[in-house]
Formats: sequence, structure tokens, C-alpha cells
Amino acid sequence: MADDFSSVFESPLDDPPDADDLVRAAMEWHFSPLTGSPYWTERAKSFGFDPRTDISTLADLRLFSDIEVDWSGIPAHLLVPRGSRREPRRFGVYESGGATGPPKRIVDATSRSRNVAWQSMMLDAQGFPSGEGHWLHIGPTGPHVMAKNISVLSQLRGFLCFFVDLDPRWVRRCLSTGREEEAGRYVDHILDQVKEVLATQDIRAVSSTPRILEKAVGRADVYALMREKLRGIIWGGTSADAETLRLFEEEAFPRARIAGAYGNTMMGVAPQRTRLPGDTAACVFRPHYPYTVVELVDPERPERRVAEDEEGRVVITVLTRDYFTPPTLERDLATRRASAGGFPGIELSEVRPCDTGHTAALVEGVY
Amino acid sequence: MAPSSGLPSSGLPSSEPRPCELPLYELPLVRAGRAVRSAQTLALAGVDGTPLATVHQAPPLLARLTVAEVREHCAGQDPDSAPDPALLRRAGRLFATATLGGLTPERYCELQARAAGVPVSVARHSLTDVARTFANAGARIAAECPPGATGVISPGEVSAVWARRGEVLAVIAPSNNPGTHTQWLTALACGYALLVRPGARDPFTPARMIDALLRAGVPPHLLSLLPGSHATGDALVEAADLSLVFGGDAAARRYGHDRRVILRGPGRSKLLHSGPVTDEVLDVICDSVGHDAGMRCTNATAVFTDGDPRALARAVAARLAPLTPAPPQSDEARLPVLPLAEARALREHLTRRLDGAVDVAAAHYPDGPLADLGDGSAALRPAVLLCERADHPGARVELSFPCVWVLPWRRSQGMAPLRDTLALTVLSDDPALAREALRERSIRKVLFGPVPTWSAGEVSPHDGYLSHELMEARGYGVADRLL
Repeated sequence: MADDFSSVFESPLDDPPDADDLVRAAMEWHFSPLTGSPYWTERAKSFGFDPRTDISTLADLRLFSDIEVDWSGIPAHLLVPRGSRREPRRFGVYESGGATGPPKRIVDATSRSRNVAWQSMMLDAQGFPSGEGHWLHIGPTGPHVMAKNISVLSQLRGFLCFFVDLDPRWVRRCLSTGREEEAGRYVDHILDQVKEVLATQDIRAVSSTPRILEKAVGRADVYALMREKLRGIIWGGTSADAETLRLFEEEAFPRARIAGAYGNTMMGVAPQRTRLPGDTAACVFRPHYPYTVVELVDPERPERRVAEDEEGRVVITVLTRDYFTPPTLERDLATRRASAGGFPGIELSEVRPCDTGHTAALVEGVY
Repeated sequence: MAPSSGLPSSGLPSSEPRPCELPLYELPLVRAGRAVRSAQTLALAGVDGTPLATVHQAPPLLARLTVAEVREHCAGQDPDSAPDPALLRRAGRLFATATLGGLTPERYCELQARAAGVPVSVARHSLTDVARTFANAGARIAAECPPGATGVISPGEVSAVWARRGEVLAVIAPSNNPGTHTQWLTALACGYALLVRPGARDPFTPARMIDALLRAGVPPHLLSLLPGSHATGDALVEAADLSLVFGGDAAARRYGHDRRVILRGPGRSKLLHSGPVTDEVLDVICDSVGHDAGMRCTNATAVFTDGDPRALARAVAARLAPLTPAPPQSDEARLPVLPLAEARALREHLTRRLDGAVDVAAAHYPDGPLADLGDGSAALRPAVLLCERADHPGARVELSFPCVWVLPWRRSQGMAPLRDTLALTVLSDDPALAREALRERSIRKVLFGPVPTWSAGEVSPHDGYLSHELMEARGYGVADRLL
């Protein structure tokens, strides 16, 4: 779409716009009655401020701090910006895994693909394979945006993409009701399918979660094929500790390039930044700034941003043409890292879920 | 394999660079006999919050890779190979006397006590107990083997061999008492490759045992130490042939249906008292409750009496009252110590489980059931809980401190109230009672007369013979002529 906002919303991937320019464009686009979505333009009537005039910098977005968005309950079609309806583009609806309650929904046309194209640039810099052979995604498909992301990424890199579906909600339901055995059978069912694809197709790269990769290593038949064939692995979806990452690279899959990707339905993809001498963390993630702005705040005092190398709770803001997310406190904790190479956004590592209200369950007995 | 002098000490090979500014003891992983570092470490603090050690962590992926590595080693082994009992005897001596992983025996005892909150006197006497158990491993294995499966099978004979049910055993170990770890030594003597995930509060004891065994010359691939989370334990249980899991009722729910898991759950050990209350009776009861700070599965959880439960409970409470609360590393300590908040939570849990029972020990402690040690930790004073009926649910509530439920019992009730008992002492002069107890399968050990519940013989079964779950008799016959 070529309009006054194209230079910020669709800027060249290696030349991102100024963050405040993007904020102003996003406020105008999403809150103008002509271009904004029915949801946002209607909600803005009760804001007590006018995003189009009162917000002109990233910092001004704090005006949204009292505005709660029930992403689970919004009729999704109301999230499509009016300005995009004239375009012959097709929006899709994408749902979160529902780790923190009912699934959240977003709409997306091409913004996420730009995020993925940017990820692919970083994979090039890391020597991640492209061209020959095919890709296998072992993870959420169905309503989850991951399938679309991986489709785009594999096409950009010249691969045919195969899928083995994993329903994260079913796994979570099994585990939350103490049915570990059933979850185990489900994982075996997935790995049986993985084996079938690996045995018959020229798979060179895989995307999956650290947990599935670990389980695959435990299945000698699947692992032998993976170790032999894979030249690239992207892991994401859940966290991985430093030793697991080291083992992936040095022991389990020595012939593969390993790249992490932090992200979720709401924030997009923050790929692993190319490793630099002096990095203390095994894997540093770089959000797609300024389209996705990540902040890390003191879990006790969310108004305070944490310092470099300090742990904080993740706050995300999304400013794309397809959808807008005001600053939102997420469930993850992460460590803030100094941005490398003049990158204007913050970088982060050691992402892990935040255990809110954690209390150790008392167990009877002497063990 | 470790620096011989100077602090900080470390269990890592001395060729590895050690960060000298780190004042903490460093406990490495052991993968198939090799001490290695992990990129993931956890700080282990004492019960008073003092940082004690950096424990290298094994994530689930490392557990799986190590099991695979161990299996490769096992593939080339003789199916009936097992470490020479002489090596185990030597390892026991090293455990008791040598500097291992940079720790003298005394320094090991102190770390174990401070981290696990177990009085240091327990680790000290365990040094020699462990050495004795190691020395006895060969005799125990021989005693447990069915005589029909011991001989050499000659041509023309069809007979039995005593064979391992698998090659790789995962051990999900506890932190309650150093002696508990001697159980998995039986598996090593059977020739299993062991992968031990230590308890979070005591990685020191299994690390020391493994160091001693390696130094004594046990084949390295038989020994791995993989500290880690529940997920690491789950990965080990999934990947190993068999598992020995120490845990509570939650572990029983989780693994109870898995035929590859040998479960060591709560002991719920008891005494059955019939007859007069004498000094000797009280000594045996109090010794059963309070020995080793009451943290073993063979410490008594309940006393059933056909006498006056109130008088008995009061007498027991009075005798237990002098057990000294003190920091676990001090010589006089006789009670378990926990971080203050955990100690409070444990007592609150007990309060919720009282169901009408009365703690008659409370009268001895005007300042309450916890002895605040002033350093962020508290010692758990004995609790003696008087119940009015034999089916009071308290008899099933085993807590890791001297905590005993006293319940009324009548002969007509038989053994029903005494079910699910690891060790039962029958404090009576009536042998018929002991025989009746032996008929109840869920009572795993019966001791007749004035002997404490934790008593064991050199070849007595703890909860059945462990080797009978690890080994099986398989038929083998050899023709009298070659084809």
C-alpha cells in the first residue's frame, strides 16, 4: 500500500524508521475514523485523550497505561483497519496458545511477513542454510501465526515447507490435569510423523521448540535422522537454558546452525542476534524495533525500566500497519542487554516465564 | 583429581581453570565418570541462607545424551559383569577417610549438614556407616541371590541364571539422610550403570560416593551425577531401563503405575506397644522417633498402644524435649533445621492435619514449636500428637522431623490400623503379635521386642530386596554335545 505512511510502515528492512515518526504514523492510521479499525476508533471515544494529537513519542504511549485490551473477547473483524479494506489484501486471524487464559486474537496481512523477512536477513548473517533441500516445522500450525511465519521464512530461503502439527493447548491441558503419560504419547505421535517425513524427504532445516528437540534426541530412531540430515535448526516458543543451547550446538546437532527466536502471537519474532565477541549470554534476542518495542521493567515497580544486565518483566508495544498493541505487560522475565552495533532498540536474553504467586508445594514424607 | 589444599575447593579436575574470586565450593556434573562443567549453574545456600556451593546443572537434554552415551558403553560389556566387591569396599574406605572432590571428610559433613539442615552428627556417623555398607555389598548381593541361580551351568543341564532386568538405572535421590544413598549401591553391585539425580539440598553425599567409587576403580561409565530439576528427573526416568525414585505421595501418583519405576515413598514406620510403660519402652519409642533427627523413612511416625495413650504421649514428649535445637553444623544439634519460612509452613501444615489431635509436647516449649536460631533458620522441635481413635488419619502423616502420633489400639482391631508400614517394632512380650504383623504384607519389616524401628541387619531387606526388582531368574540350558 503506497500512501503517506509507507515510508515508515514499509520502510526498507535495513533502514528502519525513527521510532517517534512511527508512533505518530501509527496513531494517525489506527485512530483516524477514515483508516483506523472499528475497534480502536470506537474505544478512543472514551480515552480522555486523543492519540492523534496527544501522543507524538514512544514515551507518550504511557497514556495507554490504564487502557485494558481484552484480546480474547474482541470480534476479530473489528480489528481490521478501515484503511486496509480498500486493498486487495487478505487478512488472517491468528490466535495465541492460551498459556495465560483464553486465546488472544490478532489480525495480520503483511506486517508479520516483514518481521520474518528481517529475521531471514539475520539468518543469512549467521550462515543459516538456504536453497537446497526442504524445511520441516514441528510445532503449532492451525490457528497459530507460527505456521504463516514459517511458510514465509522457508519460501524466502528457497525451501519447500513440511509441517507436523503440535497443538500446544492439548499438551497444556494434559499437563495441567496431571496426565503426563498422555502428553508423552502425544509427543511420540508427533515424533512418529517427524520420522516419516525425515525418512522420505530431503529435509535440511527444522523449526521446533526446545522441548520437542530434546524429546527427539531421546528417540534414537528420530535422532539419528535429525543428526545426519539437519544443517539448520530454529528453536523458539519456549525458553532454553544456556547448557541446553550449548549441547544443541556442540553435541546433539554439531552439523547444524542453531538459531533461537523469541516471540509470541502478540509481539512478533525477536530473532537471535548474531553472536559477538564479549557476549556474556549464549543467545541474545533482537526485537524488530521499532515495529515491536520491547521494554524490561522492575516486576515490583513496573514504572521503572531495568538497567543493562538486570532482569525485568517484558513489556511489549506493537506499531505496525496491520495492528496496534499499546504497551502491555507480558508473562516473561528476561535480562536486558546492551544493544550491539548501534541497534536502537533494546536486546534481551535469558527469557523465562515469570512465576507469579509462586509458592513451593509442601510435600509430606521424609524425601 | 582435585586440588589438595587451599580454598576455594572444587570437585572439578585441577586442569580446569578455577575462578579464584569465587568463594563457593563448585560441584561439577559427572557424565559417565567424567567431571564436567555446565553452562547452567545454581547457587546452593545453607538453611541459614549462607551461600555454600555452585552446583552445575544438568538440563533434561544432557540427561538424555548421557543415557545414550552410557548405553554405548554398556553395549560392549559382558551381560553379567559387575564391579568387584573389593572395589566397593575400597570406595567405602575412601568415602570415610579421603579428601574427595577437594573436601576432607569433615568439610563434607559440614556442607551436607548446612545445606540439608541435618545435624552434622548424622553425616559424621554416616561416614563409617556408609563404609560398612559398601564393604558389605558383596555379601548382601550373594545373600539376596536365589540359590538355584548361582551355579555354573554344565553341559546337559537346564537351570537358571540371575540376570539384570536392564542396563541403566536412574536414581532420583533424596536429601534427608546420607545413609539413604547406600540403597543404590546395591544396584551398582548388580552391575547397573547408574545415573543419579541428587536431591536439591544434598548433592554432596552422592557426589562423594561417586568420587570414591571412581577413585576405587569402578568403571567410569557406570557412574553419573546429574543435578537438575524435576524435568531432568523425568527425562532420566523416561530414558533409563529402570528407576529408583525416592519421593512422597506425589511421586507415587506420578510413577506408581509405571512398572519400570521402583518407588521409595513415605515410610510411615510405627511401633505397636502392648503392656506396661517402662523406661525401656520409652527409650525405644524415643529412639525410633528422634534418631538422626527424625528424618529417615525408618523413624517412627506413629505409636499404637493398648495402654493409656495420654500417659504414654506425655512421657514420650518429656523424653524428647531435651533434643537440642542448634545450627546443623554444631556438635550439639539434634533436630532438623529449615529456613524460617519453610519451618513455619511445615508446622502450619501439621496444624491443618491435626483433626482433633493434641500436641502434648507443646507444654515443653513456652516459646513455641520452632526454635528460631536467629540466623534466618529455625529448628523443628519434637511434636507428640495424641489421638483419640485408632483410625485417626495422622498415622499416615509423615513429616521430616521428630513428629509422632500416639493412638489407642485394641487387640480386636488387629493389624488393620498398622497397614502401610516400612518398619514396625512390636513392643510386647507376645510373639503371636509379631507373627500376626508378619502376615500383613504392607508391613515391610517387623522387629519384635525392644529394638528401634530403624534397626537393620547386614542382609535384612529394607523394602523387599532391591536386587529382586533389579534382577530376575532366567532359564538357561546347555546341551551335552555341540551341534
